[in-house]
Amino acid sequence: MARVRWWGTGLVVLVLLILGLLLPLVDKALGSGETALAAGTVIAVGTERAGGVRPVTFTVPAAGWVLNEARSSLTNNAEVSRDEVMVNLNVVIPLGSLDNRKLWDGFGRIVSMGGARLLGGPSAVTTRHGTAGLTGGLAGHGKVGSATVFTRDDLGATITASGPPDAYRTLADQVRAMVLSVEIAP
Amino acid sequence: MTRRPAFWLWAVMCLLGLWIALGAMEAQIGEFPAGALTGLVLLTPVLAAGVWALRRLHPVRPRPLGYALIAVAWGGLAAFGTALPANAAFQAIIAKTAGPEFNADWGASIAAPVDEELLKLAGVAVLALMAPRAVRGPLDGWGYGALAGFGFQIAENFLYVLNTIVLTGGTQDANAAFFTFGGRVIGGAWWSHWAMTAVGGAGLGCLLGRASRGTAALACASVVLAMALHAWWDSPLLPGAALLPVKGLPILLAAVVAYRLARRHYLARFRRAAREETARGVLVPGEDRVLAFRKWRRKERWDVPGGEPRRLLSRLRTAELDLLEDGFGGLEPDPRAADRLRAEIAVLRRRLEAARAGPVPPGTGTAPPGTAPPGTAPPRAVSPDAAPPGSARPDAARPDAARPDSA
Repeated sequence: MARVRWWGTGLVVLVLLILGLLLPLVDKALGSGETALAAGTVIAVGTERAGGVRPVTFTVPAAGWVLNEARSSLTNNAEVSRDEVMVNLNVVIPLGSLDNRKLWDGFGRIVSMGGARLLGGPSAVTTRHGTAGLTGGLAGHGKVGSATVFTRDDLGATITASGPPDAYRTLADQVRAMVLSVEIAP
Repeated sequence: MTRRPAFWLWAVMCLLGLWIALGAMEAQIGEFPAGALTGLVLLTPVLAAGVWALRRLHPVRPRPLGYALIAVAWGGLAAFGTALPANAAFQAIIAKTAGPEFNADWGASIAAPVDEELLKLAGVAVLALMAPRAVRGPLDGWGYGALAGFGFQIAENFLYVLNTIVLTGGTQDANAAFFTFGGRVIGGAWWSHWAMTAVGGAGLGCLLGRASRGTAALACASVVLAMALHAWWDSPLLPGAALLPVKGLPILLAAVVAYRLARRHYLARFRRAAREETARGVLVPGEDRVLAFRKWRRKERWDVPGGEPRRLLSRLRTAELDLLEDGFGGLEPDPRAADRLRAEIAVLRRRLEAARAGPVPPGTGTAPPGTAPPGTAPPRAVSPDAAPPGSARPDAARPDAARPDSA
Protein backbone atom coordinates (compact mmCIF):
# COMPACT_ATOMS: atom_id res chain seq x y z
CA MET A 1 0.00 0.00 0.00
CA ALA A 2 2.97 2.33 0.50
CA ARG A 3 3.17 2.68 -3.25
CA VAL A 4 -0.17 4.45 -3.23
CA ARG A 5 1.59 7.57 -1.98
CA TRP A 6 3.34 7.77 -5.37
CA TRP A 7 0.70 6.72 -7.87
CA GLY A 8 -2.04 8.38 -5.84
CA THR A 9 -0.14 11.65 -5.88
CA GLY A 10 0.51 11.11 -9.58
CA LEU A 11 -3.20 10.73 -10.17
CA VAL A 12 -3.92 14.03 -8.40
CA VAL A 13 -1.18 15.72 -10.44
CA LEU A 14 -2.80 14.34 -13.61
CA VAL A 15 -6.17 15.85 -12.67
CA LEU A 16 -4.49 19.18 -11.91
CA LEU A 17 -2.62 19.13 -15.22
CA ILE A 18 -5.78 18.34 -17.19
CA LEU A 19 -7.72 21.17 -15.58
CA GLY A 20 -4.98 23.75 -15.18
CA LEU A 21 -2.95 23.13 -18.32
CA LEU A 22 -4.80 21.00 -20.85
CA LEU A 23 -7.99 23.09 -20.86
CA PRO A 24 -6.11 26.36 -21.58
CA LEU A 25 -4.17 24.56 -24.33
CA VAL A 26 -7.37 23.27 -25.95
CA ASP A 27 -8.81 26.78 -25.71
CA LYS A 28 -5.72 28.15 -27.42
CA ALA A 29 -5.87 25.47 -30.10
CA LEU A 30 -9.45 26.47 -30.93
CA GLY A 31 -8.19 29.88 -32.02
CA SER A 32 -9.62 33.29 -31.27
CA GLY A 33 -13.26 32.23 -31.66
CA GLU A 34 -14.58 35.15 -33.64
CA THR A 35 -17.98 35.51 -35.26
CA ALA A 36 -18.19 37.84 -38.24
CA LEU A 37 -20.91 40.46 -37.80
CA ALA A 38 -23.00 41.86 -40.61
CA ALA A 39 -23.73 45.57 -40.79
CA GLY A 40 -26.73 46.39 -38.65
CA THR A 41 -26.29 43.44 -36.26
CA VAL A 42 -27.72 44.30 -32.86
CA ILE A 43 -25.77 42.91 -29.90
CA ALA A 44 -27.64 42.59 -26.63
CA VAL A 45 -25.92 42.50 -23.25
CA GLY A 46 -27.08 42.13 -19.64
CA THR A 47 -29.00 39.65 -17.55
CA GLU A 48 -31.93 38.26 -19.48
CA ARG A 49 -35.30 39.70 -18.55
CA ALA A 50 -38.73 38.19 -19.14
CA GLY A 51 -38.95 36.99 -22.70
CA GLY A 52 -35.21 36.42 -22.94
CA VAL A 53 -34.45 40.07 -23.69
CA ARG A 54 -31.11 41.57 -22.62
CA PRO A 55 -31.50 45.22 -21.61
CA VAL A 56 -28.48 46.97 -23.18
CA THR A 57 -27.99 46.90 -26.95
CA PHE A 58 -25.71 48.44 -29.56
CA THR A 59 -25.59 48.14 -33.32
CA VAL A 60 -22.65 47.21 -35.52
CA PRO A 61 -22.47 50.00 -38.12
CA ALA A 62 -20.60 48.22 -40.90
CA ALA A 63 -19.36 44.83 -42.03
CA GLY A 64 -15.87 43.73 -41.01
CA TRP A 65 -16.38 43.69 -37.27
CA VAL A 66 -16.22 40.41 -35.34
CA LEU A 67 -17.61 39.35 -31.98
CA ASN A 68 -14.97 37.90 -29.70
CA GLU A 69 -16.89 34.90 -28.37
CA ALA A 70 -14.50 33.92 -25.60
CA ARG A 71 -14.31 37.45 -24.20
CA SER A 72 -18.02 38.19 -24.44
CA SER A 73 -20.06 36.84 -21.55
CA LEU A 74 -23.16 38.72 -22.83
CA THR A 75 -24.47 38.68 -19.26
CA ASN A 76 -21.95 41.39 -18.36
CA ASN A 77 -20.15 42.43 -21.50
CA ALA A 78 -19.59 42.10 -25.23
CA GLU A 79 -16.39 42.74 -27.15
CA VAL A 80 -16.19 43.42 -30.86
CA SER A 81 -13.05 44.12 -32.82
CA ARG A 82 -11.75 45.06 -36.25
CA ASP A 83 -8.18 45.64 -37.39
CA GLU A 84 -6.79 45.67 -33.82
CA VAL A 85 -9.42 48.15 -32.67
CA MET A 86 -11.47 46.74 -29.84
CA VAL A 87 -14.79 47.97 -28.54
CA ASN A 88 -15.95 46.62 -25.19
CA LEU A 89 -19.33 47.33 -23.66
CA ASN A 90 -19.89 46.50 -19.99
CA VAL A 91 -23.20 46.61 -18.18
CA VAL A 92 -23.19 48.47 -14.87
CA ILE A 93 -25.53 47.50 -12.07
CA PRO A 94 -25.48 50.18 -9.38
CA LEU A 95 -26.15 49.40 -5.75
CA GLY A 96 -27.43 52.92 -5.08
CA SER A 97 -28.24 56.04 -7.05
CA LEU A 98 -26.21 56.45 -10.22
CA ASP A 99 -25.48 59.40 -12.47
CA ASN A 100 -23.12 59.90 -15.36
CA ARG A 101 -20.58 61.95 -13.42
CA LYS A 102 -20.36 59.42 -10.62
CA LEU A 103 -20.04 56.57 -13.11
CA TRP A 104 -17.38 58.45 -15.08
CA ASP A 105 -15.27 58.88 -11.93
CA GLY A 106 -15.70 55.25 -10.92
CA PHE A 107 -14.99 54.07 -14.43
CA GLY A 108 -11.74 56.04 -14.42
CA ARG A 109 -10.57 53.87 -11.51
CA ILE A 110 -11.50 50.67 -13.36
CA VAL A 111 -9.67 51.84 -16.48
CA SER A 112 -6.57 52.60 -14.45
CA MET A 113 -6.58 49.01 -13.15
CA GLY A 114 -5.63 47.93 -16.66
CA GLY A 115 -2.85 50.49 -16.89
CA ALA A 116 -4.75 52.96 -19.11
CA ARG A 117 -6.12 56.40 -18.16
CA LEU A 118 -8.97 58.69 -19.12
CA LEU A 119 -7.83 61.92 -20.79
CA GLY A 120 -9.11 65.31 -19.68
CA GLY A 121 -12.64 66.17 -18.66
CA PRO A 122 -15.50 64.34 -20.34
CA SER A 123 -17.95 65.95 -22.73
CA ALA A 124 -21.66 65.30 -22.94
CA VAL A 125 -22.99 62.86 -25.50
CA THR A 126 -26.51 61.72 -26.35
CA THR A 127 -27.33 58.51 -28.20
CA ARG A 128 -29.74 58.26 -31.11
CA HIS A 129 -32.26 56.86 -28.64
CA GLY A 130 -31.92 59.88 -26.37
CA THR A 131 -29.80 58.39 -23.61
CA ALA A 132 -27.43 60.99 -22.15
CA GLY A 133 -23.87 60.16 -21.22
CA LEU A 134 -20.30 61.39 -20.92
CA THR A 135 -17.40 60.68 -23.25
CA GLY A 136 -13.69 61.40 -23.30
CA GLY A 137 -10.31 60.24 -24.56
CA LEU A 138 -8.49 57.11 -23.44
CA ALA A 139 -4.79 56.25 -23.67
CA GLY A 140 -2.44 53.55 -22.47
CA HIS A 141 -0.13 50.76 -23.60
CA GLY A 142 0.64 52.61 -26.86
CA LYS A 143 -3.05 52.71 -27.80
CA VAL A 144 -5.53 55.53 -28.11
CA GLY A 145 -9.28 55.50 -27.97
CA SER A 146 -12.36 56.73 -26.21
CA ALA A 147 -14.37 55.94 -23.10
CA THR A 148 -18.08 56.59 -22.72
CA VAL A 149 -20.57 56.06 -19.92
CA PHE A 150 -24.37 56.04 -19.99
CA THR A 151 -26.87 55.70 -17.17
CA ARG A 152 -30.59 55.19 -17.11
CA ASP A 153 -32.70 54.39 -14.06
CA ASP A 154 -31.19 51.36 -12.39
CA LEU A 155 -28.76 50.41 -15.12
CA GLY A 156 -25.66 51.82 -16.76
CA ALA A 157 -23.20 50.99 -19.50
CA THR A 158 -19.53 51.73 -20.04
CA ILE A 159 -17.88 51.52 -23.44
CA THR A 160 -14.19 51.56 -24.16
CA ALA A 161 -12.78 51.65 -27.67
CA SER A 162 -9.06 51.48 -28.25
CA GLY A 163 -6.41 50.48 -30.75
CA PRO A 164 -3.17 51.53 -32.36
CA PRO A 165 -3.39 55.26 -33.28
CA ASP A 166 -3.57 54.76 -37.07
CA ALA A 167 -6.10 51.94 -36.93
CA TYR A 168 -8.24 53.80 -34.42
CA ARG A 169 -8.27 57.01 -36.49
CA THR A 170 -9.40 55.00 -39.53
CA LEU A 171 -12.33 53.45 -37.65
CA ALA A 172 -13.15 56.38 -35.33
CA ASP A 173 -16.38 57.23 -37.18
CA GLN A 174 -17.63 53.64 -36.96
CA VAL A 175 -16.74 53.50 -33.27
CA ARG A 176 -18.65 56.73 -32.68
CA ALA A 177 -21.64 55.33 -34.58
CA MET A 178 -21.53 52.23 -32.41
CA VAL A 179 -21.40 54.32 -29.24
CA LEU A 180 -24.31 56.48 -30.37
CA SER A 181 -26.37 53.34 -31.09
CA VAL A 182 -26.34 52.23 -27.44
CA GLU A 183 -29.79 51.78 -26.00
CA ILE A 184 -30.65 50.96 -22.41
CA ALA A 185 -34.12 49.50 -22.05
CA PRO A 186 -36.14 51.01 -19.23
CA MET B 1 4.47 13.99 6.55
CA THR B 2 7.13 16.03 4.75
CA ARG B 3 8.63 12.81 3.38
CA ARG B 4 5.52 12.16 1.37
CA PRO B 5 5.24 13.54 -2.19
CA ALA B 6 1.67 14.65 -1.51
CA PHE B 7 2.92 17.14 1.09
CA TRP B 8 5.12 18.84 -1.47
CA LEU B 9 2.32 18.78 -4.02
CA TRP B 10 0.09 20.47 -1.46
CA ALA B 11 2.73 23.09 -0.62
CA VAL B 12 3.59 23.87 -4.25
CA MET B 13 -0.06 24.03 -5.33
CA CYS B 14 -1.00 26.32 -2.43
CA LEU B 15 1.82 28.71 -3.35
CA LEU B 16 0.99 28.49 -7.05
CA GLY B 17 -2.70 29.07 -6.36
CA LEU B 18 -1.90 32.08 -4.18
CA TRP B 19 0.32 33.49 -6.92
CA ILE B 20 -2.34 33.03 -9.61
CA ALA B 21 -5.08 34.49 -7.39
CA LEU B 22 -3.01 37.51 -6.40
CA GLY B 23 -2.04 38.08 -10.02
CA ALA B 24 -5.73 38.09 -10.96
CA MET B 25 -6.82 40.37 -8.12
CA GLU B 26 -3.91 42.67 -7.27
CA ALA B 27 -4.95 45.46 -9.65
CA GLN B 28 -8.45 45.55 -8.15
CA ILE B 29 -7.12 45.38 -4.60
CA GLY B 30 -4.70 48.24 -5.33
CA GLU B 31 -7.37 50.45 -6.92
CA PHE B 32 -10.14 49.68 -4.43
CA PRO B 33 -8.34 49.11 -1.12
CA ALA B 34 -11.30 50.12 1.05
CA GLY B 35 -13.56 47.51 -0.56
CA ALA B 36 -10.87 44.84 -0.44
CA LEU B 37 -10.08 45.58 3.20
CA THR B 38 -13.75 45.61 4.17
CA GLY B 39 -14.22 42.28 2.42
CA LEU B 40 -11.25 40.85 4.25
CA VAL B 41 -12.48 42.12 7.62
CA LEU B 42 -15.96 40.69 7.02
CA LEU B 43 -14.81 37.32 5.70
CA THR B 44 -12.05 36.53 8.20
CA PRO B 45 -14.37 35.86 11.17
CA VAL B 46 -16.64 33.84 8.88
CA LEU B 47 -13.66 31.70 7.92
CA ALA B 48 -12.71 31.18 11.58
CA ALA B 49 -16.30 30.37 12.60
CA GLY B 50 -16.81 28.00 9.68
CA VAL B 51 -13.59 26.08 10.36
CA TRP B 52 -14.52 25.85 14.04
CA ALA B 53 -18.00 24.55 13.27
CA LEU B 54 -16.96 22.07 10.57
CA ARG B 55 -14.16 20.70 12.76
CA ARG B 56 -16.65 20.03 15.53
CA LEU B 57 -19.22 18.43 13.25
CA HIS B 58 -18.17 14.95 14.36
CA PRO B 59 -20.02 12.67 16.79
CA VAL B 60 -17.01 11.73 18.92
CA ARG B 61 -14.10 14.18 18.66
CA PRO B 62 -13.25 17.30 16.67
CA ARG B 63 -11.09 16.90 13.61
CA PRO B 64 -7.41 17.77 14.21
CA LEU B 65 -6.78 21.46 13.58
CA GLY B 66 -3.71 20.77 11.44
CA TYR B 67 -5.60 18.49 9.05
CA ALA B 68 -8.50 20.95 8.94
CA LEU B 69 -6.17 23.81 7.99
CA ILE B 70 -4.50 21.68 5.31
CA ALA B 71 -7.91 21.10 3.72
CA VAL B 72 -8.96 24.76 4.04
CA ALA B 73 -5.67 25.98 2.55
CA TRP B 74 -6.04 23.58 -0.37
CA GLY B 75 -9.56 24.82 -1.07
CA GLY B 76 -8.82 28.52 -0.62
CA LEU B 77 -5.45 28.64 -2.36
CA ALA B 78 -4.64 25.61 -4.52
CA ALA B 79 -8.13 24.78 -5.79
CA PHE B 80 -9.26 28.40 -6.08
CA GLY B 81 -6.10 29.57 -7.87
CA THR B 82 -6.17 26.67 -10.32
CA ALA B 83 -9.89 27.12 -10.95
CA LEU B 84 -9.39 30.68 -12.26
CA PRO B 85 -7.59 29.75 -15.51
CA ALA B 86 -9.41 26.41 -15.76
CA ASN B 87 -12.87 28.00 -15.62
CA ALA B 88 -11.88 30.77 -18.02
CA ALA B 89 -10.52 28.26 -20.52
CA PHE B 90 -13.47 25.88 -20.17
CA GLN B 91 -16.02 28.66 -20.67
CA ALA B 92 -14.05 30.00 -23.63
CA ILE B 93 -14.16 26.51 -25.19
CA ILE B 94 -17.93 26.39 -24.66
CA ALA B 95 -18.35 29.86 -26.15
CA LYS B 96 -16.26 28.96 -29.19
CA THR B 97 -17.98 25.64 -29.81
CA ALA B 98 -21.58 26.30 -28.74
CA GLY B 99 -21.77 30.08 -29.14
CA PRO B 100 -21.70 33.01 -26.74
CA GLU B 101 -25.48 32.93 -26.10
CA PHE B 102 -25.33 29.32 -24.92
CA ASN B 103 -22.23 30.10 -22.87
CA ALA B 104 -23.93 33.07 -21.23
CA ASP B 105 -26.82 30.85 -20.14
CA TRP B 106 -25.17 27.51 -19.41
CA GLY B 107 -21.39 28.02 -19.49
CA ALA B 108 -20.99 28.50 -15.75
CA SER B 109 -23.22 25.55 -14.91
CA ILE B 110 -21.12 23.25 -17.11
CA ALA B 111 -17.57 24.48 -16.48
CA ALA B 112 -17.61 25.33 -12.77
CA PRO B 113 -19.01 22.02 -11.45
CA VAL B 114 -16.45 19.96 -13.35
CA ASP B 115 -13.44 22.16 -12.62
CA GLU B 116 -14.21 23.24 -9.11
CA GLU B 117 -15.57 20.00 -7.66
CA LEU B 118 -12.61 18.00 -8.97
CA LEU B 119 -10.14 20.59 -7.71
CA LYS B 120 -11.71 20.83 -4.26
CA LEU B 121 -12.03 17.06 -3.90
CA ALA B 122 -8.39 16.69 -4.88
CA GLY B 123 -7.76 18.32 -1.49
CA VAL B 124 -9.34 15.34 0.29
CA ALA B 125 -7.20 12.95 -1.74
CA VAL B 126 -4.05 14.99 -1.09
CA LEU B 127 -4.77 15.04 2.65
CA ALA B 128 -5.30 11.25 2.64
CA LEU B 129 -2.00 10.82 0.80
CA MET B 130 -0.20 13.20 3.18
CA ALA B 131 -1.71 11.79 6.35
CA PRO B 132 -3.38 8.40 5.75
CA ARG B 133 -4.85 8.43 9.28
CA ALA B 134 -6.82 11.58 8.47
CA VAL B 135 -9.26 9.98 6.01
CA ARG B 136 -10.57 6.60 7.10
CA GLY B 137 -14.11 6.64 5.86
CA PRO B 138 -17.07 8.67 4.63
CA LEU B 139 -17.31 10.87 7.73
CA ASP B 140 -13.70 12.02 7.35
CA GLY B 141 -14.23 12.55 3.62
CA TRP B 142 -17.36 14.55 4.37
CA GLY B 143 -15.58 16.72 6.93
CA TYR B 144 -12.43 17.47 4.97
CA GLY B 145 -14.43 17.88 1.77
CA ALA B 146 -16.58 20.45 3.57
CA LEU B 147 -13.47 22.22 4.88
CA ALA B 148 -11.81 22.31 1.44
CA GLY B 149 -15.07 23.58 -0.04
CA PHE B 150 -15.37 26.18 2.67
CA GLY B 151 -11.85 27.48 2.01
CA PHE B 152 -12.77 27.77 -1.67
CA GLN B 153 -16.02 29.48 -0.77
CA ILE B 154 -14.30 32.18 1.30
CA ALA B 155 -11.70 32.86 -1.42
CA GLU B 156 -14.45 33.05 -4.03
CA ASN B 157 -16.48 35.41 -1.85
CA PHE B 158 -13.49 37.73 -1.68
CA LEU B 159 -13.22 37.63 -5.48
CA TYR B 160 -16.93 38.45 -5.68
CA VAL B 161 -16.38 41.51 -3.51
CA LEU B 162 -13.91 42.76 -6.12
CA ASN B 163 -16.14 41.71 -9.02
CA THR B 164 -19.10 43.54 -7.48
CA ILE B 165 -17.03 46.72 -7.31
CA VAL B 166 -16.33 46.41 -11.04
CA LEU B 167 -19.95 45.50 -11.78
CA THR B 168 -21.07 48.74 -10.13
CA GLY B 169 -18.77 50.65 -12.45
CA GLY B 170 -16.37 51.46 -9.63
CA THR B 171 -19.04 53.60 -7.97
CA GLN B 172 -19.11 51.45 -4.83
CA ASP B 173 -16.20 50.41 -2.71
CA ALA B 174 -16.91 49.25 0.84
CA ASN B 175 -20.63 49.03 0.05
CA ALA B 176 -19.87 46.34 -2.53
CA ALA B 177 -18.23 44.30 0.22
CA PHE B 178 -21.29 44.65 2.47
CA PHE B 179 -23.57 43.77 -0.42
CA THR B 180 -21.55 40.68 -1.30
CA PHE B 181 -21.40 39.66 2.34
CA GLY B 182 -25.16 39.92 2.67
CA GLY B 183 -25.88 38.02 -0.52
CA ARG B 184 -23.22 35.36 -0.52
CA VAL B 185 -22.56 34.80 3.19
CA ILE B 186 -25.75 35.60 5.09
CA GLY B 187 -28.03 34.59 2.25
CA GLY B 188 -26.07 31.92 0.42
CA ALA B 189 -23.41 30.33 2.61
CA TRP B 190 -25.74 27.58 3.81
CA TRP B 191 -25.78 25.67 0.53
CA SER B 192 -22.59 26.77 -1.12
CA HIS B 193 -19.27 25.06 -1.90
CA TRP B 194 -18.83 23.42 1.50
CA ALA B 195 -22.07 21.46 1.09
CA MET B 196 -21.39 20.30 -2.47
CA THR B 197 -17.84 19.16 -1.72
CA ALA B 198 -18.94 17.50 1.52
CA VAL B 199 -21.27 15.28 -0.52
CA GLY B 200 -18.49 14.37 -2.96
CA GLY B 201 -16.01 14.00 -0.11
CA ALA B 202 -18.19 11.46 1.71
CA GLY B 203 -18.09 9.11 -1.26
CA LEU B 204 -14.39 9.71 -1.82
CA GLY B 205 -13.83 8.99 1.88
CA CYS B 206 -15.45 5.55 1.42
CA LEU B 207 -12.97 4.74 -1.33
CA LEU B 208 -9.96 6.14 0.53
CA GLY B 209 -10.97 4.26 3.67
CA ARG B 210 -11.43 0.89 2.02
CA ALA B 211 -10.82 0.34 -1.69
CA SER B 212 -13.24 -1.95 -3.46
CA ARG B 213 -15.41 -1.90 -6.56
CA GLY B 214 -18.36 -0.92 -4.43
CA THR B 215 -16.62 2.03 -2.78
CA ALA B 216 -15.16 3.10 -6.13
CA ALA B 217 -18.66 3.17 -7.60
CA LEU B 218 -19.91 5.06 -4.54
CA ALA B 219 -17.09 7.60 -4.88
CA CYS B 220 -17.87 8.16 -8.58
CA ALA B 221 -21.59 8.51 -7.85
CA SER B 222 -21.00 11.02 -5.05
CA VAL B 223 -18.62 13.12 -7.17
CA VAL B 224 -21.21 13.16 -9.97
CA LEU B 225 -23.88 14.12 -7.43
CA ALA B 226 -21.69 16.96 -6.13
CA MET B 227 -21.21 18.19 -9.69
CA ALA B 228 -24.94 17.90 -10.39
CA LEU B 229 -25.77 19.94 -7.28
CA HIS B 230 -23.22 22.55 -8.33
CA ALA B 231 -24.64 22.64 -11.86
CA TRP B 232 -28.15 23.03 -10.47
CA TRP B 233 -27.03 26.02 -8.39
CA ASP B 234 -25.24 27.72 -11.29
CA SER B 235 -27.94 26.98 -13.85
CA PRO B 236 -30.29 29.68 -15.18
CA LEU B 237 -33.28 27.70 -13.88
CA LEU B 238 -35.34 29.40 -11.15
CA PRO B 239 -33.75 32.82 -11.60
CA GLY B 240 -34.15 35.64 -9.11
CA ALA B 241 -32.99 36.21 -5.56
CA ALA B 242 -36.36 35.27 -4.07
CA LEU B 243 -36.03 31.71 -5.35
CA LEU B 244 -32.46 31.17 -4.13
CA PRO B 245 -33.57 29.34 -0.95
CA VAL B 246 -35.67 26.98 -3.11
CA LYS B 247 -32.63 26.39 -5.28
CA GLY B 248 -30.24 25.99 -2.36
CA LEU B 249 -32.34 23.77 -0.13
CA PRO B 250 -31.73 20.53 -2.09
CA ILE B 251 -27.98 21.13 -1.80
CA LEU B 252 -28.16 21.64 1.96
CA LEU B 253 -30.45 18.63 2.26
CA ALA B 254 -28.02 16.44 0.30
CA ALA B 255 -25.17 17.53 2.59
CA VAL B 256 -27.24 16.82 5.73
CA VAL B 257 -28.32 13.39 4.46
CA ALA B 258 -24.73 12.54 3.47
CA TYR B 259 -23.59 13.59 6.95
CA ARG B 260 -26.25 11.51 8.70
CA LEU B 261 -25.35 8.42 6.65
CA ALA B 262 -21.62 8.93 7.18
CA ARG B 263 -22.16 9.49 10.89
CA ARG B 264 -24.28 6.36 11.24
CA HIS B 265 -21.59 4.37 9.40
CA TYR B 266 -18.90 5.80 11.71
CA LEU B 267 -20.84 5.11 14.91
CA ALA B 268 -21.65 1.55 13.87
CA ARG B 269 -17.97 0.82 13.39
CA PHE B 270 -17.09 2.74 16.55
CA ARG B 271 -19.47 0.63 18.62
CA ARG B 272 -18.26 -2.59 17.03
CA ALA B 273 -14.63 -1.70 17.71
CA ALA B 274 -15.48 -0.69 21.28
CA ARG B 275 -17.25 -4.02 21.87
CA GLU B 276 -14.25 -5.94 20.57
CA GLU B 277 -11.77 -4.00 22.68
CA THR B 278 -13.95 -4.35 25.74
CA ALA B 279 -14.15 -8.10 25.19
CA ARG B 280 -10.39 -8.12 24.75
CA GLY B 281 -10.04 -6.34 28.07
CA VAL B 282 -8.36 -3.26 26.70
CA LEU B 283 -11.36 -1.09 27.52
CA VAL B 284 -13.07 -1.29 30.86
CA PRO B 285 -16.80 -2.11 30.60
CA GLY B 286 -18.68 1.17 30.38
CA GLU B 287 -15.65 3.07 29.13
CA ASP B 288 -16.94 2.98 25.56
CA ARG B 289 -19.88 5.08 26.66
CA VAL B 290 -17.62 7.76 28.11
CA LEU B 291 -15.44 7.65 25.00
CA ALA B 292 -18.39 8.23 22.72
CA PHE B 293 -19.43 11.54 24.22
CA ARG B 294 -17.29 14.63 24.25
CA LYS B 295 -19.40 16.08 27.06
CA TRP B 296 -18.81 13.11 29.33
CA ARG B 297 -15.11 13.01 28.56
CA ARG B 298 -14.98 16.66 29.57
CA LYS B 299 -16.98 16.04 32.72
CA GLU B 300 -14.88 13.11 33.87
CA ARG B 301 -11.81 15.34 33.78
CA TRP B 302 -13.33 17.44 36.57
CA ASP B 303 -13.20 14.41 38.86
CA VAL B 304 -9.51 13.89 38.28
CA PRO B 305 -6.97 16.04 40.11
CA GLY B 306 -5.34 18.65 37.92
CA GLY B 307 -1.80 18.32 36.64
CA GLU B 308 -0.31 14.94 35.78
CA PRO B 309 -3.42 12.79 36.44
CA ARG B 310 -5.56 14.94 34.18
CA ARG B 311 -2.92 14.93 31.47
CA LEU B 312 -2.66 11.16 31.73
CA LEU B 313 -6.42 10.76 31.51
CA SER B 314 -6.47 12.93 28.42
CA ARG B 315 -3.69 10.87 26.83
CA LEU B 316 -5.46 7.65 27.77
CA ARG B 317 -8.69 8.73 26.12
CA THR B 318 -6.84 9.88 23.00
CA ALA B 319 -5.03 6.55 22.74
CA GLU B 320 -8.30 4.67 23.22
CA LEU B 321 -10.04 6.68 20.52
CA ASP B 322 -7.06 6.18 18.21
CA LEU B 323 -7.30 2.45 18.84
CA LEU B 324 -11.02 2.32 18.10
CA GLU B 325 -10.53 4.25 14.85
CA ASP B 326 -7.44 2.30 13.85
CA GLY B 327 -9.41 -0.48 12.22
CA PHE B 328 -11.58 1.86 10.21
CA GLY B 329 -9.28 1.71 7.19
CA GLY B 330 -7.24 4.29 5.35
CA LEU B 331 -4.76 4.37 2.52
CA GLU B 332 -1.85 2.93 4.46
CA PRO B 333 -3.05 0.86 7.41
CA ASP B 334 -0.34 0.03 9.93
CA PRO B 335 -0.83 -3.61 11.07
CA ARG B 336 1.21 -3.00 14.24
CA ALA B 337 -0.55 0.15 15.30
CA ALA B 338 -3.34 -1.61 17.22
CA ASP B 339 -0.96 -3.64 19.41
CA ARG B 340 1.17 -0.56 19.98
CA LEU B 341 -1.88 1.43 21.07
CA ARG B 342 -3.11 -1.39 23.34
CA ALA B 343 0.25 -1.49 25.07
CA GLU B 344 0.24 2.29 25.39
CA ILE B 345 -3.27 2.22 26.86
CA ALA B 346 -2.20 -0.37 29.45
CA VAL B 347 0.79 1.72 30.47
CA LEU B 348 -1.24 4.93 30.63
CA ARG B 349 -3.95 3.20 32.65
CA ARG B 350 -1.40 1.96 35.20
CA ARG B 351 0.23 5.36 35.46
CA LEU B 352 -3.14 7.04 35.87
CA GLU B 353 -4.19 4.62 38.61
CA ALA B 354 -0.91 5.30 40.35
CA ALA B 355 -1.25 9.04 39.98
CA ARG B 356 -4.81 8.98 41.33
CA ALA B 357 -3.76 6.79 44.28
CA GLY B 358 -1.16 9.33 45.33
CA PRO B 359 2.63 9.34 45.50
CA VAL B 360 4.08 5.91 44.82
CA PRO B 361 6.67 4.68 47.30
CA PRO B 362 10.05 4.14 45.70
CA GLY B 363 10.69 0.63 44.42
CA THR B 364 7.03 -0.37 44.06
CA GLY B 365 6.79 0.40 40.36
CA THR B 366 3.99 2.29 38.69
CA ALA B 367 1.40 -0.46 38.55
CA PRO B 368 -0.82 -0.65 41.63
CA PRO B 369 -2.22 -4.03 42.60
CA GLY B 370 -5.17 -5.15 40.57
CA THR B 371 -4.39 -3.25 37.38
CA ALA B 372 -4.88 -5.32 34.31
CA PRO B 373 -2.25 -6.23 31.81
CA PRO B 374 -3.24 -6.00 28.14
CA GLY B 375 -5.54 -8.74 27.04
CA THR B 376 -7.11 -9.38 30.43
CA ALA B 377 -10.27 -7.97 31.87
CA PRO B 378 -9.46 -5.17 34.31
CA PRO B 379 -11.19 -5.24 37.65
CA ARG B 380 -12.78 -1.81 37.44
CA ALA B 381 -13.03 1.27 35.31
CA VAL B 382 -10.32 3.91 35.49
CA SER B 383 -12.80 6.26 36.95
CA PRO B 384 -15.89 4.66 38.39
CA ASP B 385 -17.54 8.03 38.63
CA ALA B 386 -16.77 8.67 34.99
CA ALA B 387 -20.09 7.18 33.99
CA PRO B 388 -22.41 9.82 32.62
CA PRO B 389 -24.25 11.71 35.32
CA GLY B 390 -27.71 10.40 35.91
CA SER B 391 -27.14 7.15 34.05
CA ALA B 392 -26.58 3.66 35.32
CA ARG B 393 -23.19 2.16 34.60
CA PRO B 394 -23.47 -0.03 31.53
CA ASP B 395 -23.75 -3.71 32.09
CA ALA B 396 -20.42 -5.38 31.39
CA ALA B 397 -22.24 -8.27 29.75
CA ARG B 398 -23.96 -5.90 27.33
CA PRO B 399 -21.34 -3.39 26.23
CA ASP B 400 -23.31 -2.62 23.11
CA ALA B 401 -25.89 -1.00 25.32
CA ALA B 402 -23.80 2.13 24.92
CA ARG B 403 -25.13 3.96 21.91
CA PRO B 404 -23.21 7.13 21.25
CA ASP B 405 -25.45 9.45 19.34
CA SER B 406 -24.45 12.93 20.33
CA ALA B 407 -23.34 15.34 17.64
